[in-house]
Amino acid sequence: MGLGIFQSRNTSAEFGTRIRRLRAPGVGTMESLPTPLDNLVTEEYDDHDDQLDDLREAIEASDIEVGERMIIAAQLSKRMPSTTQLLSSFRTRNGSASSRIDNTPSRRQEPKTTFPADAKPTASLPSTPVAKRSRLQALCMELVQTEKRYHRDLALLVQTFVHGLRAVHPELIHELTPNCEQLLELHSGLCDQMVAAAATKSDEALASALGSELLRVSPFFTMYVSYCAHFMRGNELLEKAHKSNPMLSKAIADAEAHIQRRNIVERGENAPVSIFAFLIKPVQRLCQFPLLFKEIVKAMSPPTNRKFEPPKPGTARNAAFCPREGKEKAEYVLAVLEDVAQLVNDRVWLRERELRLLEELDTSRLQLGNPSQTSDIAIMGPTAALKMELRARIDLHSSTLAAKRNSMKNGSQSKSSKVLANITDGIGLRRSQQGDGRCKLRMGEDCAQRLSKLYILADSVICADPATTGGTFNVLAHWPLRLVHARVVIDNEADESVAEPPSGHLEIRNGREILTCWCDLKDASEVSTLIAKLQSDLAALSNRRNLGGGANAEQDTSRTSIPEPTGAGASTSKLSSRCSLSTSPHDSLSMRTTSSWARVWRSLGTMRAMGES
Amino acid sequence: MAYAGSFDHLFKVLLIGDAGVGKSSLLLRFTDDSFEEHMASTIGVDFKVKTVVVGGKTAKLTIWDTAGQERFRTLTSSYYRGCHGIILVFDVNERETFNHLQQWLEELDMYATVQNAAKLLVGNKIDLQQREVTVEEATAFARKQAMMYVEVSAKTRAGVRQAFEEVVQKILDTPDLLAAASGETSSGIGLAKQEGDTGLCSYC
Repeated sequence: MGLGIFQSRNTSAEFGTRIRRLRAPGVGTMESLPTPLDNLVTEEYDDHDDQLDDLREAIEASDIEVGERMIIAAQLSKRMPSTTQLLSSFRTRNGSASSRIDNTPSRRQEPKTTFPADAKPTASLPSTPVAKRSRLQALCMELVQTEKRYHRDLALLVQTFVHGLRAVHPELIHELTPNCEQLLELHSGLCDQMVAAAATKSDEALASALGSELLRVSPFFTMYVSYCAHFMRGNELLEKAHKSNPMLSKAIADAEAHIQRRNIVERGENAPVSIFAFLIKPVQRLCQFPLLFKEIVKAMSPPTNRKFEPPKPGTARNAAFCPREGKEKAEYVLAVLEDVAQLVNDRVWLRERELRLLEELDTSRLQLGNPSQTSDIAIMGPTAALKMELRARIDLHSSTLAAKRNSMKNGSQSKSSKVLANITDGIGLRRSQQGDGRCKLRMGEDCAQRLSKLYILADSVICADPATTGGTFNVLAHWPLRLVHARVVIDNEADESVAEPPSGHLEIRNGREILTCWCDLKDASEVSTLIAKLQSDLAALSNRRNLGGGANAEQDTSRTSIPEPTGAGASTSKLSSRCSLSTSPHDSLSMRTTSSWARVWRSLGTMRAMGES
Repeated sequence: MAYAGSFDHLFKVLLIGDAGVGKSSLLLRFTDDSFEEHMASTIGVDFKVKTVVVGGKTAKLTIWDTAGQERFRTLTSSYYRGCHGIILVFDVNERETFNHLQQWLEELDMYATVQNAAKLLVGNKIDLQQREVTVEEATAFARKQAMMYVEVSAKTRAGVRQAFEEVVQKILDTPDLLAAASGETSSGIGLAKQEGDTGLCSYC
């Protein structure tokens, strides 16, 4: 593959234009040579060795068959009886120009030619650089060809699957490929530019042009974050919908059959087509760019005097400069492509984690069906996370709390307190350590401002409500690469001058660990009261929802078992519970912030409803 | 290329393992019976289709290859979706690739959507005489993970066919997997439906 374009352009006329491109500043032109050589531009060179080499390379790089080369050589020598002689004179640098001019009284100059007329054309050519050159050309063409193919596939994906299925199930398509059309647009442009470059350039020049094009579009490759994230999540929805919605499955089957027929007609391929294979293509393509370009970089000749080292992973996009040409530029482009793919990979990973956690958090609420303003905000299903959270709190109650306080007091920053510091600093909460290891949280002046900023950076923080100036914040953040769910309960009204310090607490769920920092809970007995409250809440809820045998939350403070969902009701038997341990003043405050959660629930609700339909 | 005709089962099989262990060579050897000595890295292979007959049953395999994208783990995890069979490949001459198998297995556990996908461990490149992993070691590792172990050489064809047939056999022996494959639950959505779509033949 990758040679299709070559084959269509191996005519001698094409060959002529190729040579002209090779040396732009033409001086003289052959006037009356008949075809196919009248396209040949002859130029005067001081260095005839150069001239010869260029032509030799041009012919080598092009796909002209040996036979055709012979014909060109023969025509050249027929037209110019002195070619042989001239060719040998080309070998001597300078001085040969005058002799050549003497031999061509019409002051025409000979077209450049590769072959001494008396030698077999290929035999006389140096093999290594030539092989390298044509390999580079082939690799460049592979990039162009695969881009064309990808563009076709994307177009098919949009026209057939996206348009076809949108009519049947618009929400699904929105979830599955929200930006497929934009990707197509991006790659239409890229593909056109690449094909245009391939038509006018070759070898290093082509590689450089392709590099420039990729560099130009690379910032837009972040679109793939959205594509890949939705693709990975959407697959599940697609499968469910496929099973339950006969209209949809028929539309998919029709689209697949349509593409299969087109493949047979247009490509002579008869392989089964599946929507999955099409949907995954952008994911594959993004990863392919670095692979393809790496081969191109390898095939390029090394820079004569290196000025730039290839950028280290992760640094290319921030590099202050980009080498202008040659292998150094290609290395830079490669580094950018690798970084972009890595970036997409990492961001998709983070989104996956975030969504998983959100799902865990919102499940029960959604199933209660009423994300009303009045209920408390921290609601979790009877998941492993909740169990662990309860255990962690109970553990805290006994020995761990003391240990933790000690470690905080001693100033040795544990991992948990580092996370805490990161979060609180990030949203502008001031912490002040108290003598007994507890810390106070207070909102700084710029807290609301910071929160709104964080809110905009939806990648970093979800559902911190900028409108809220006090109360409970739910912060879902990854810091720096780990997902953290934190609840910040603070009392904004309190003020340093007031004798009673503001109280609150911060809970951090960091992957599997749940870290709770108590800020101003008076003593351990209060903790156990809260745990009891939590448990009774759980029991009450599960009773209310009439889960068979579900409500047996033990009152034992050392161990708590959460009722397991049973039987067919498993999917709907998610428990919800008030997990807020905040004391009375915060209960009223926390009600203000439900709107942020409601927003998240609403957006997830659409997704969920689709999954269940 | 004529349409492959009817088949009893349609299975999705995935090749995983470190870059450079010869996954693509293995795939090409099996599907096209070809071998390229200097295959640089896999580019552009989506998946290959091959029909095999095992125990009297015709199974159509769509065999996927992660195509050199191993380093983008999150993105490649989407390949695991709906896989019935998974072939873990390592290079018997590179201990490192053997050591990484555990990671691949963990990844598999995390992302595979079909329960109990049939797994097979394949040691490739046995034609090269620079072994760093012994047969016993690999067999012991495979046994611990309840996998079969097969040694192959994509270059000399040794064991290649057997490896793929082994996977098919294992899928056929696992009722859950068969159930998953017969429905439209897998990622091969719609693939199974194409059986009997005779209208296509007019284009052949």
